[in-house]
Amino acid sequence: MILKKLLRKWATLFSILALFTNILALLMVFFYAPTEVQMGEVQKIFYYHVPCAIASYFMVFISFVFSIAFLVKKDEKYDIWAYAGAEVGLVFILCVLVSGPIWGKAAWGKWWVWEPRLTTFLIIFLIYFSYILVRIFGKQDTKTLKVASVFSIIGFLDVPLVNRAVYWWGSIVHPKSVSLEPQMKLTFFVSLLSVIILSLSFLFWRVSVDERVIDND
Amino acid sequence: MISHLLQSSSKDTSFYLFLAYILIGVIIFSYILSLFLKARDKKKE
Repeated sequence: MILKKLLRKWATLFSILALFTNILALLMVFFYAPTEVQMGEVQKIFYYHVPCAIASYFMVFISFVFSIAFLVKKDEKYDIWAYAGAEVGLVFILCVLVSGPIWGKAAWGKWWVWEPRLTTFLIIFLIYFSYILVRIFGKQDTKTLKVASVFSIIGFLDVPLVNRAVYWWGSIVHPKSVSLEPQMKLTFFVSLLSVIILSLSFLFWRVSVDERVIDND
Repeated sequence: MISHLLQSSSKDTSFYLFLAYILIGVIIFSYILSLFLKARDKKKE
């Protein structure tokens, strides 16, 4: 059984934390972090682009773990978490796919380049988009849930490929490592923390509004 | 001439910066709204 009351408490707590940390992160991005010399102002997209990517990996990992648990134990409570993880993950994947091309256009003059990291990341988007379509248009039976779980597992297997793509196949736009000024580093970590907290608050809210979670208050 | 180019380039990139942050905001806000509507529908049921 999923305790709705406890979930709502966690969701509220994380929402308040997310609000304050995101306000702090935005203030730091626009007023504290120095402007990068080569790319100029547009480099500040980095402070939300990369944390959104990390948060999406974290969410699809949750979906991956609970999908395996669902396939093994055949208990729908695991599927509730798997569905929520995939949905919240897709929201952050979308943020990455929107902010990335804008950054690319401003910095390198191109919206999109068919290079390994971008392509493998697009594949993650397509897999989780398919997952959501299966959930929306499929019947709410065990067979659909099983198919969706397999989608989620395959989708997560693409994450290490995205991470290693730069090392294995090289990249035109993504560097292997980034060296940051101390102020940039601090801003990045605050942004990362704020986005991770936001993703967790979304996850808790999403699980609590699932029609299979019964009110117990 | 060069300073003019640099100025125009920095102006352009700040537009892209705001565009990216506004679009991320729109996505996040839309999702919050969808969760809110879902919660409201569930309450009605």
